[in-house]
Amino acid sequence: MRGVFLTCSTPIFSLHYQKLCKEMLYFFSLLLGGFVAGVFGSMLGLGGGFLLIPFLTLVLDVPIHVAIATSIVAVIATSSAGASLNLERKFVHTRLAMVLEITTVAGALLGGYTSNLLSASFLAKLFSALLLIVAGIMFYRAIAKNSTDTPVTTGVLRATYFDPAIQQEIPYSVVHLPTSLIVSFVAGNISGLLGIGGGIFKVPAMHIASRIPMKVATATSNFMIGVTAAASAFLYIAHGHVHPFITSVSALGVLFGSLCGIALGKKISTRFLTLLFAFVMLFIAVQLYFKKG
Amino acid sequence: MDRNGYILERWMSITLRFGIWLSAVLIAIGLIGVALQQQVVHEMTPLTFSTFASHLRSEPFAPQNFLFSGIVLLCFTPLARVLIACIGFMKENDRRFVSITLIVFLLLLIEIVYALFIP
Repeated sequence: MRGVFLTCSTPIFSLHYQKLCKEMLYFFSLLLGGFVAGVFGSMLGLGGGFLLIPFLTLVLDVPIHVAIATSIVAVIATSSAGASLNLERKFVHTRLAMVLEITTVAGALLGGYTSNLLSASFLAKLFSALLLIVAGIMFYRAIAKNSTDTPVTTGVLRATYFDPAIQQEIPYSVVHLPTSLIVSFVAGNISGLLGIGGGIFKVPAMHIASRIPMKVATATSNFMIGVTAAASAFLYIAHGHVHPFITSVSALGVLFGSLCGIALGKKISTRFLTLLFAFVMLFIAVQLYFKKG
Repeated sequence: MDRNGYILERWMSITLRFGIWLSAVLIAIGLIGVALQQQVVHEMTPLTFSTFASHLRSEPFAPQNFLFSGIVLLCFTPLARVLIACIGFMKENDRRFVSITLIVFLLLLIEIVYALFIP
């Protein structure tokens, strides 16, 4: 970034224009960084936070608590936009979401409270460990074969959803609810602690353990993520970690990026991209682990 | 799913969309203000609820107040969605889910009250 700023420091610019140029560059860096994080985050089903937080801390030298708070606000924006669409398409299991929200909100509150007690360097190391886990999940996703949806109708909270691919109403229900409740608590905790949505943990738990169809699990998780993020957002505001400019510009970038990512994801095969980003995550994890300050 | 369920989902969807648009408008006004006043964003400090309140009293139309209001409104949007769900379940006479939604709402409310009292 410093290298880019230097181009504005040539003598033909007055001091005022040098300052203005720096501000403009900072604005576009935040917007573009958020946009790129949003595009790839949504295409890979990760959410923008996984790429936004390393970008803000490693490239723009933003303190990690501010980066996490920024990511949380961006998560609220993208989750609310996605949930609004999914509710119209009737993919969200509202009642299941409400049940799981009890543990995920409790986890997020605990995470948000803990995060504000931890040092920046410890949080950076924790985030780098999380990136390693996510890289592992992505490697698995890239090589594993897609599982087929076989919903169970003998569980609790029975419902149906309309699958547009086969033009049919599919009945399903929820089994092993305690497993999803526990995973929701852990995902909420990680969300509050490190500023990510937590869908990467919730969706597999809901789909594999509770046998919820993938489309419903993804939409229901996305629906819950907004409340999970909001649960810790107020704590970050209260501790003075929300920078009005950085947060609002990055959140806008992530929001527009994730909307583009949804449209692009339908056209592009994500298997290669998943593998590529698994390596990118590994690289970022190492960078973040050894970051000084 | 019955008709009440559809209406509840529709209202939740409208609430979320309204929250996003309103906060986007506030953020846009704030950003235009920052550009017009040629404010140095590096000198802008993070806001807390208490500093925001004092900023509002001294400079109510400062661009960063619009930015912060947009962010806070965005954070309140999922909370409003929980409240709408609670009202919807009340209309459906589903006492079990009214209680569940109220627990979630109370957890969030406790956190906000706690956050407001952090000095």
